[in-house]
Amino acid sequence: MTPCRDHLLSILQTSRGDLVQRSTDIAFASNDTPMTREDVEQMMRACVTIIEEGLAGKTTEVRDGFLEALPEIALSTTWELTLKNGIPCWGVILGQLSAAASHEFRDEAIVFLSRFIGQWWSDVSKAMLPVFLAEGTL
Amino acid sequence: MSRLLDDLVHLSGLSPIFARTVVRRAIVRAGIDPESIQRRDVERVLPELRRALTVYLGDMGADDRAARIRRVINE
Repeated sequence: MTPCRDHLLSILQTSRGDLVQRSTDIAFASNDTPMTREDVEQMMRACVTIIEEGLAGKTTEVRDGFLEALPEIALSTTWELTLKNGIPCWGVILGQLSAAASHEFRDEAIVFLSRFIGQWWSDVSKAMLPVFLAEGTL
Repeated sequence: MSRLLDDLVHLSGLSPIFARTVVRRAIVRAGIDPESIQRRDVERVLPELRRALTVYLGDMGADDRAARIRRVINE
């Protein structure tokens, strides 16, 4: 655990509710799909939990579980919808969490979160794209 | 899909995008086949389901949903 990751984890643990609500408001306003605000909030909570796991570095249980479920989810959605629904949530939480970080940790926080979210989308692609290709929906 | 599985998916309060998958996985983790789940199995499934719901609904939301599921299924 680096001081920066410890700092971000502390922000999540003390401001989780506010962070989720404010980030959900922004992500919902950025999303032109039929998702309800409640659906966006649920996705935002999942994003926060996955980031929290990544910061603590003790387990990847939620992350792994989500990734394992994606091939099945891919059977009832499209890549376009996945991007439209997912990118705003991840982008907004990166921006909000970085902005909440203290000045001394902000640059490191942005780099860590960008890498973390990049790796997430790499794994999402590996889990879902083969299904979309096989189903002919890509 | 079994009728009870349909009911649990609906009662979960989760987004249709991932509700079915999350509920099915929780049932499997409890050691039960989602396609043949019976009312008597629900108490055994609830701890796993509550745990899964916490990720998407938070602690309070998951507690509320688990209580609602127990109430509706036992009616």
